[in-house]
Amino acid sequence: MDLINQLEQLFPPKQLFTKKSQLVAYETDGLTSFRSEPLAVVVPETHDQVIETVRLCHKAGVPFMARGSGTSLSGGSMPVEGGVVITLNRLNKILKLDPENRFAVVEAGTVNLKVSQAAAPHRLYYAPDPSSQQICTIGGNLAFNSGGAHCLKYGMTANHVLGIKAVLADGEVAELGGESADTVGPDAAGFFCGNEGLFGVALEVTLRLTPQPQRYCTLLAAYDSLEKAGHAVSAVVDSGMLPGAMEIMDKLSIKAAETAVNAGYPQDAAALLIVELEGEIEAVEEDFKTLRGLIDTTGAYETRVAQDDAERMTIWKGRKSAFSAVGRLSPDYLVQDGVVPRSRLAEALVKIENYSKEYGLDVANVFHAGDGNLHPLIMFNGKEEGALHHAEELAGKILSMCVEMGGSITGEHGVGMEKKKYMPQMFNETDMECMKRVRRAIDPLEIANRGKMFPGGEAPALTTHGAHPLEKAGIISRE
Amino acid sequence: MGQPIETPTSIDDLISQVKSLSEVIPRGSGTKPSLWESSETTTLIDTRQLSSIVEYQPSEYTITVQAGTLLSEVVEALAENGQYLPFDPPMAEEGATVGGTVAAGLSGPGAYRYGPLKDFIIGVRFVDGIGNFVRGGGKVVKNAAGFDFPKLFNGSLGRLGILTEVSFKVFPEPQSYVTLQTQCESHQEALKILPIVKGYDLEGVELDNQLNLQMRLGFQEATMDVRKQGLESLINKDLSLTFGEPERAVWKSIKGFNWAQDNRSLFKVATHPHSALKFLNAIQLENWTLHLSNGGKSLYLSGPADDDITSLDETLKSQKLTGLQIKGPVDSHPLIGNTSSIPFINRVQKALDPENRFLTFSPTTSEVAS
Ligand SMILES: Cc1cc2nc3c(=O)[nH]c(=O)nc-3n(C[C@H](O)[C@H](O)[C@H](O)COP(=O)(O)OP(=O)(O)OC[C@H]3O[C@@H](n4cnc5c(N)ncnc54)[C@H](O)[C@@H]3O)c2cc1C
Repeated sequence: MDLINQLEQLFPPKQLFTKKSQLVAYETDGLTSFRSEPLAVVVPETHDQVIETVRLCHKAGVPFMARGSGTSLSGGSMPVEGGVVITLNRLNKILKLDPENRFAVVEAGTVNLKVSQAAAPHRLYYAPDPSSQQICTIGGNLAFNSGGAHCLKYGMTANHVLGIKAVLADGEVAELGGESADTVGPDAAGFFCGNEGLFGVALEVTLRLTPQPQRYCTLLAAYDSLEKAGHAVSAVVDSGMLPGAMEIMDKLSIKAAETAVNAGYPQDAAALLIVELEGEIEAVEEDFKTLRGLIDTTGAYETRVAQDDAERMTIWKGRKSAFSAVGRLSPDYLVQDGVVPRSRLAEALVKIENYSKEYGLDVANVFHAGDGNLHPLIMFNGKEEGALHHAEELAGKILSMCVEMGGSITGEHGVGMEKKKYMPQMFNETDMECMKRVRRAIDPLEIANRGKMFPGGEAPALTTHGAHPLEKAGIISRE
Repeated sequence: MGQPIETPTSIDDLISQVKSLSEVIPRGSGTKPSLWESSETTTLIDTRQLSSIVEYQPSEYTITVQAGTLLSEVVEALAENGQYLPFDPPMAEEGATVGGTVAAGLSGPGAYRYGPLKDFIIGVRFVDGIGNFVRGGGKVVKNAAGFDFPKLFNGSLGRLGILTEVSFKVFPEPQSYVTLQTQCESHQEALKILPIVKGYDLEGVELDNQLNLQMRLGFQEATMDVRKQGLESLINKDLSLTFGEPERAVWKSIKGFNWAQDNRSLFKVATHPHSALKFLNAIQLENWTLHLSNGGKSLYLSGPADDDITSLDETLKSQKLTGLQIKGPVDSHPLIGNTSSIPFINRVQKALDPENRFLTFSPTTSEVAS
C-alpha cells in the first residue's frame, strides 16, 4: 500500500489534501520567492494522527515538514518537494495555565498572542513577541527560536520553553524538560528549540509566563544622521541601563510608516530611536530620568515622551507597521536579519548604504538596535529580468559583512532555505559535520524538513511573488 | 591509586589526549565531586590550564572565556565594569570554574530575576568524543543559526564534550542591594508569599532550613525606601532589613552552600513552588537539611553521605521531578528521579561520542543486568 493510501486510512477526506488545487495554498511561506509542491497535506486533530503520520513517512522514506502558520521569512516552511506537509493549526488548545507557578502548557499549533491573552487576567504574559504574533504559532516560534523587540532583556523563544513533547523524525515520542524554569541535566528542551523542523514535530510545549511590567516608559528621539542614533544606542547601554526595547528606523522607513499609519513621526529625521523602559514603577521612573538626560547629550534634535498608553501605542504602531509600509513603496523586497556586534552598528549601516548605492537598489532599515539585529529591506522590481537575483546578491553581501564583523547570518528568522548557503561562512566543516551527525542521530533518513539549514540539496527555482498574502491583507506586518 | 589525571595546556594537547584515551571525564576545580568521581579506568581531564578571558567588551554585554577560567576571575572582571553574570553562579568563592558550572548547569539565587544559566549561554567551543574541535552558537547576544549547542551543554555533566570556551550574555548589575528577611512558620506559608511578590523585580528569593525567607532588592538609592514600604504592606508581616557587608555575607553564604556541611551529600531538584511543596509533603527525610532556592524553582537537599537514596529517587520519579547529585558518593550516574529526556540525549550523545569515551547519563542495559 502506498503512503497516500495509508494516509487515507488515517485521515477523513476533509483532513487530507492531495489535489493540486488544494495544495497550492501550501506551496510557499513568508519568503514568497520559493515555491514547491508537496505530495499531500494532512491536517491532524489529534497527537496520535501526527505521530502516526511521521511513522508512516519514516517507514516509506518520504520527507515531511511540520507547518504552523507558514509565516517563516526564510523558506523554512516551504514544503519539501514530493513530501508530506503536517499542518498543526488545529492542534491549538491551551491545555493548562498555572498562574501561581507561572507556566502554560499549549499545543504546538497555538497562536503566540493567544497565550498572552489567556494569561492576561493573571497579570502574566508570554514574553517573546515576534511582530507576526497575531498569527504565528508556538511550534513555528520554537522551531526557529523566534525573537521580537524585547530580546535583549528577555531572550528568545528558547529562554521561555520549559518542556516539549515531540515526535522525533523516526516516530519515537520524546518528553523533554518539564515544568520548572530551572534545569537539571542537559537542557534537552532548549536544544530542541531552533532545530528548524529537522528533529521532528513538537506536539505540546510548556511555556514560562512572565509578570506584566508595572510600568512602561517610552521615548522617541529624532536624529539628523543614522550614525548618531547608532551611537545613542551604545551610550544607553554603556550607562548601565537595561531597556526592554531599543529600535531604530531610518529615513525611508520613517517616511513609509508615516504615510501608512500617521504616527506623527518627525518627518525630516534621518533616524528615529525608540527606547522603552519597563518594570517596577519606582525603579523605571528613576531610570527614565537618567535616560532623558542621557539622550539630550546624544545630539537628538527632538525628543518625545509617551504621556499615556495611547501615545505609547502610536509610537509603536509606526514602528510595527514600518515594513509592510515600505512594502507599499516597492511590491517586491527581501528582508534580511543578520546580527552585528552592537558597538559596530553605525559602521554596519554605513556599509549597507554603500552597498545600496553600488547595487542601485533602495534599502530601508528598521531594526532591533538593542541587540544588533539588522533588518535591511532590499527593494527591487520583480518584473525586471534578473532583478531578484541582483537583490539576492546584495543580501548576500550584507550577510557576509555580518559574519566578518563577528555577528550572525540570522538573529531570529532562521536559516531555512534562504540562508543555507551562508552557513559555511559562520561554521567550518567540522562544526557543520558535527551538526549533521546530530541530525542523523535523530533522523537517520533525513526526512524531517529535508533540504533546509544545511547547504546543498535541490533548491527550487526562484520566482517573485511580492508580499505575504496576509501582509497584503494588512493582517500582519514585518518587524 | 585514584583516577589518572591529564592536564592539557592547549587545545591541541586536549585533542590528542582525548584521542589516545578510552574513557575520560573533564574536571575543573573539583567543587562538585559527584559529577566527576568515577572508576580508576576513567581519566580526569583537568581543564584549569585552559584559562583566560578571551574577549570582553562591556558595551556588547557579552564575555567569552576559556572553560578552565575561575568564576571568581570572571565575576571580578565584570564587576570592574558594573556588570555581572545574571544567573549568579554558585561556588565562585570556593574555586569553581566556568566549564564546571556550565556542565553542572548550576545557577545561583540571582537567577530569580532574569533566569538561569541556560538563558545566558550564547556560544561554546568543545572537543567532542572523537577529538573534533567544534563551535556552536556565537558571540553576539542574538543568534538563530545552527543547532543550539550552547543550550545543550548547560547541564551536560562532562558527557557530551569537553568545553574549552564559553560565551555569555551579561547585564549591568544593580548599584547596591538590600535584603528583607522574615521568619515563616511553614513552607506553606512561605509559598503563599511567593506569588504575592511576583510583580516585584527582586534579585533573589530564598527560603532556608530554618524557614527564614530572604528577599533581595537591587536598587538606586533614591527608590529604596518606597520600594521597601511597598513590599511590607503587601506581605503584611514584619520584615527586617540588612544592607552593606552583612547583606553581602548572606548571599555569599547561600552561594557557597554553607548550610550544607562538607561531609554530607548535596542534591539539586528542578521544581516550581507547588511541585517543591508537594514533594516535601511526600517525602520523609530524617536528618536532612532543605533549602528552597530561586523562588521555589530549585530545591536543594543535603543529608548524611551514606543515606540510602532509593526513596528520594522513587519519590522524584513518581512526581516527575529530576534531581542531580552534586556531592556525596555516586555510582557515576548523578541524575536521579525522572529521566524522560535521557533517551533523546543518549541519541545526541551517540553522535557526539560515537566511540563511547564519555560516561553515560543513565545505566546502560548491560550495567543494569550485572
Ligand atoms: C509579517 C511578518 C513579521 C515577522 N516578524 C518576526 C519577528 O518580529 N521576529 C521573528 O523572529 N520572526 C518574525 N517573522 C517570522 C515568522 O513569523 C517566525 O519565524 C514564526 O516563528 C513562524 O511561525 P509559523 O507558525 O508561521 O511557522 P511556519 O512558518 O509554519 O514554520 C516555521 C518553521 O517551523 C517548523 N515548524 C512549525 N511548526 C512546528 C512544530 N510543531 N514542530 C516542529 N517544527 C515546526 C517548520 O517546519 C518551519 O521550519 C515574521 C514573519 C512575517 C510574515
